[in-house]
Amino acid sequence: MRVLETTLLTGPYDWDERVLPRSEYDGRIQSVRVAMAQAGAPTLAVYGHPGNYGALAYLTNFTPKAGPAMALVPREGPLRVLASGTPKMMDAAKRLTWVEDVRPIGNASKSVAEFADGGDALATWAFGAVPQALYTGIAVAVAPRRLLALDQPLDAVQRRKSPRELELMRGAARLLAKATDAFAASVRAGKGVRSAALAAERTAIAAGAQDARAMASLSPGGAPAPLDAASDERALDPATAGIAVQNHGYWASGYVTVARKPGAARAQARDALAAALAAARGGAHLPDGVGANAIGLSLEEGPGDLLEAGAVYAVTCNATAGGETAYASALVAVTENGCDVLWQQPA
Amino acid sequence: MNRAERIERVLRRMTADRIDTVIAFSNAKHHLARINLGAHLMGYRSIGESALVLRGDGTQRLVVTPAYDAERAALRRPELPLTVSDDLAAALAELLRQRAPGRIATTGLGAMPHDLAVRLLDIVGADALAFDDIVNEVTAPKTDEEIANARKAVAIAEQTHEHMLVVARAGMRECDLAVEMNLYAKGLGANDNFLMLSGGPHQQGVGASSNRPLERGDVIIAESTPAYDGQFGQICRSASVGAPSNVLAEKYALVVRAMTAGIEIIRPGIKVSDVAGAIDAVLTDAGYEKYNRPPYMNRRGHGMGTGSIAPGDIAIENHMILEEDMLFVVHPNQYLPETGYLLCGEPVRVTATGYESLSKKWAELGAVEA
Repeated sequence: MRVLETTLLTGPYDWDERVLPRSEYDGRIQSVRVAMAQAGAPTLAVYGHPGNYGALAYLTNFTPKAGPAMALVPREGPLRVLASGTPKMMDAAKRLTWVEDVRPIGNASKSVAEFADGGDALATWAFGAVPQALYTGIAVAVAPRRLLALDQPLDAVQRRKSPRELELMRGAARLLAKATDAFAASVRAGKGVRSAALAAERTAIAAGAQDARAMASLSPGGAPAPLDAASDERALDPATAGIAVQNHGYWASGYVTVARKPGAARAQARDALAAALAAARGGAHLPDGVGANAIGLSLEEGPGDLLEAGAVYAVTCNATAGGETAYASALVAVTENGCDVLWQQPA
Repeated sequence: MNRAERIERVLRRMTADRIDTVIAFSNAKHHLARINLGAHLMGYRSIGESALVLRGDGTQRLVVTPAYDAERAALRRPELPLTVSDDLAAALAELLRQRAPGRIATTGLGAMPHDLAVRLLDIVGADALAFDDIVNEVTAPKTDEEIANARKAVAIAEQTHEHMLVVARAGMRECDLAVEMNLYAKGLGANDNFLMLSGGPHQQGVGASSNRPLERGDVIIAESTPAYDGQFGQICRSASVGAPSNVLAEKYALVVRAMTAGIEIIRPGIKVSDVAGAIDAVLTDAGYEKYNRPPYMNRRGHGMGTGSIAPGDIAIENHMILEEDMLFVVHPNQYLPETGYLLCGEPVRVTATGYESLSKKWAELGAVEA
């Protein structure tokens, strides 16, 4: 699920070591340093921005509320976070992470080059999202060292959820259930989709979500879209929502179709989802026509065409019958032998 | 001005610079204070990366990703031919293959994500002209639609501030207050809100809200910036937790006076730096000359996106000439040694002879329950 990026993140994101203790991060950094050693890179630079900061948060818990940020990870020694904002804003930025060395991102190219001293390559993670001008600036600043993308091995490490992470995703799934219920109740009460989407967001936030984003269809059976115009308010039957909620950094997302008289499309979507969940296990491919993506600290952590044991997936099916389109979706933790359903709609 | 006239301005510059095709890229970031000329020209806030292809003969095509955004794009910009795809580079390559682009200029390429930008560079060619500065310059004034939306955004900001004064109290976390304000603004019709809000007894600056609980004696400072149909409108406000001290009230009156001095000289033809200078002069007269520079302040205001953020920062170094229908916020936003950082700011439109205040009620020091 891709949502419209918000201009500034405002929720509770300060690092809470009771939820994710330092030991959790130590284990992650150890795994990352193994990959760095295998690649022969003495330093790793990790990028995040308010729209997607999964890799950055995975290593540092840092949420780039106000703009782009980077983490610089040496093979040994302390990490550094480069955060958007002026020096005066760094006290607030430091609350977001266990990393002690937090500085303004300022001239990012220069800052990265100064930190990444030595070696033949600067390893990177999530640099595909770096704005082209900044990417070029960093490449020039660290030359003759090359930029070496480690996304493939590090994404794989990140996708495999620890027991603590799975628990947080179960929490996110519970919030998602409340949000989808609120959307459905609002639509059934005759409200327009914009009001229903807002009700879903309010419900999730009230229940403890850090963030909640609800999209909804603009026509009966339409694909959910951001409702960013006041004129988007309209009563629809059926109405479909795509909702994402965040719990201590971890996202859960799903779709729900609400219809006064459930038709054949709903049954077909539900049956397709049931077949997909029955097939889901590590190493399996889902049936054709089923959408899936890995999910966790990002709404999209990777493709879902080949399921990996240990990862969590958002799985979506839709079906059209009699001019009506309906969605069914689930959030599943995939194991070697099957999957654990964290959330499913329709239940 | 309407969107067609904005496009006409770009077409005139294309003719003058012998450009056959402008490809204006949007990185799908629709921010208060960052330029996105693609979104500015297309009048559309895409979910994914997108582009407007503008030919010298005036024909246009909107290329939008992801494909499932098709319905919304067609609803928002029904007058534009539309291509939807899950792969912007592939869709663009196909369009340019169907009709040769001639000499290409681009905007926004440097802001596109690296993985995609590499492919786009292959398509537009290394000799494509960067047209960002030119397009930014000729499209600085807002359209009538954007101005109307800014008025609505500011009205929402003012109502949201009143709501804040009612719900904020000691013990509430900054972030919870900020989230509540965002939800409230959304309920009033906002589609986004750039809300910097922080509290403390003596702050060095404003930042994104943290988990810190508000305390008696804090000053809450907030840049509240809802967007209505994509157009942001900012007000800046301060409120004490509990009754304000006399010195706080006195110093707040000073920064409001400085802001007023800056706003009252606004008219077409003056420089942006004149506005900043008028603000600085009041603070200098009050004995705070050394505080008219960072780290005690950053800028005296700024343009308001999305799309274009012209006329840029309200700063002594900015010599851009003000034009009718430019929109910006004037905010001294100043650290004073007696009080810490204080915020007051009002959004204005440059009119034919002066300025229009978009806010109904200018900043006053507020107070919330301790």
